Amino acid sequence: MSKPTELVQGTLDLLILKTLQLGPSHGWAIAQRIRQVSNSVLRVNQGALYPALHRLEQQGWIKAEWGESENNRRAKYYSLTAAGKKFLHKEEANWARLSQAIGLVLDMA
Amino acid sequence: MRWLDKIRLRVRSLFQKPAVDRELEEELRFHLERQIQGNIAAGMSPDEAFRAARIEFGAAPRFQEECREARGLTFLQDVARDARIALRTLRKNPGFAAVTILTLALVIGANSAIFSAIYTLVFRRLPYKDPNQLVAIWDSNRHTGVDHIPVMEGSYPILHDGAKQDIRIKFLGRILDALQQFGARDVFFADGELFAVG
Repeated sequence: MSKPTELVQGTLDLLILKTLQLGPSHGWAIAQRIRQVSNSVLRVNQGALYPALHRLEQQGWIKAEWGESENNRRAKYYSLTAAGKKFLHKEEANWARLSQAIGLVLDMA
Repeated sequence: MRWLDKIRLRVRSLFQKPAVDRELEEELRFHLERQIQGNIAAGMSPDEAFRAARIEFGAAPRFQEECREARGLTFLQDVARDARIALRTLRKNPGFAAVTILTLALVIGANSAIFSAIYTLVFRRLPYKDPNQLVAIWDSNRHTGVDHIPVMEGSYPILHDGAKQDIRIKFLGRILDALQQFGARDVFFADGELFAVG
């Protein structure tokens, strides 16, 4: 299995959910937004993005609907569900705790 | 109703596989087209834009598979594969297979035989209305040593009516007393006298 590690995968989920907090969006726009906001540091490739989206949908954190895109094409729009919002809050708190802890270890000595 | 949505999605992935696959393809095609547009907007020539997007998109079949996996489809496919392997293995060791199948057959047979007996005798309610109102009355004769002579069987209300109407059954009144007093189901008489209740 050539899956990314647990941390990377969980992080991608968090980034996707956070992006969707701003409103419904299709896959391409999600990748684009993450890239722009992170000053091109984070580049989400489709090979990771779409499996993650489908997994998140399967878990009930997001739901998908077909809609009209900005270039007048049919596109699949994802949006956060109520459960997804709750999950995002929890994950954000977890992430803050984790990064703070890692920061503490790295600042040592 | 998160779990309901989950089930709905999974059922859809399972039974409307062509539609789900088509949607996935359309979703990915949209991404590719949007990427080409984006590349052109960033200043690439259409050819370049197409090539760049295509390169980035190279592994589409692989991650389509991953999307399917994310939808939990492969679980069932795995089960089917395991079953095939199991059958092949059994065919390779016919002796082992025969012993296994025979053992299972015997055990299942014995189990269901015991269960149906116990079920009929102990658990199943009698196929009558208000089965707990049924009584059986037995007599026995001390001189001849014969016991368990059936006097009558019936429901409590019928016995009760009988007691009022037919005083020829001289001990029916006492039977009813016994039934009421002890909550008995079986009333035993010896030589016409109340002997035991059970």
